[in-house]
Amino acid sequence: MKNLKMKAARAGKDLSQEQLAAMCNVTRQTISAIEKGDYNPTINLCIAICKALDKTLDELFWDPET
Amino acid sequence: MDYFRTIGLPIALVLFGAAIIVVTVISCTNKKFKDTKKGSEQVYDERQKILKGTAYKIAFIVTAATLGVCALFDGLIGSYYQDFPSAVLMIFAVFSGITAFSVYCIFKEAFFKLGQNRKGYMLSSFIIMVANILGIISRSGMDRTYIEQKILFADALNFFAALLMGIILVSLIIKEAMSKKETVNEES
Repeated sequence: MKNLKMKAARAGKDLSQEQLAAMCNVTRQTISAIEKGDYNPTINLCIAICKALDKTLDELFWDPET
Repeated sequence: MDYFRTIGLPIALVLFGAAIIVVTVISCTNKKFKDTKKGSEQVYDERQKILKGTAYKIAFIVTAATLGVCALFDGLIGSYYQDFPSAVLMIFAVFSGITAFSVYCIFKEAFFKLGQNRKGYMLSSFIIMVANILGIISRSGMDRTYIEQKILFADALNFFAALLMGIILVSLIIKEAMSKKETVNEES
């Protein structure tokens, strides 16, 4: 399932995938895979993404429907 | 020649073995070689590590399958090709596994560490490929095949190495082009 919340948060901060990847110390393809829903990140990476985007885990990764 | 076989070769093998042990010990103990440094520029990220695990499995399957097919080939029609040495099969199987591992990692973007110099790697791959091709060309006038009397000449190793580097280089170029296109599409 696509992570549109993360994509929107990244776009909201005017960050490219490359820039967010550099902030989280991962490859651009990893960020792309998370946004596409092809890869489930570990909690450590989720926290790093949340810190980079100034969001909470709930805001980016919690889906009440699942 | 006899001197080399009786004394030089064992010494060379011992030195080679010692060098492998030293390099292994240094790489295991020296922090520079470890991927565990936090905030380090050159590390594999978590997705890459998972994919590399899958790549090892694929490489093992490809190597085993190649050995199986080669054994079948050797068993069924090997009697017609008595000069076909098992060394070629072994090298072919090993190179197949390495190629499968490399190509899978390249296309899944798990080949390079974060911040690793890709162009430098591509250039070194190209140089190694050219060096091996030159090795083949320089011996091409000697009027002999890769295999004679069940002996595998260095030409065959040069051929396999050039082929491997060529496949890796082509894969890297294709992936590089795909990544650029993907970046443009996803950022827009």
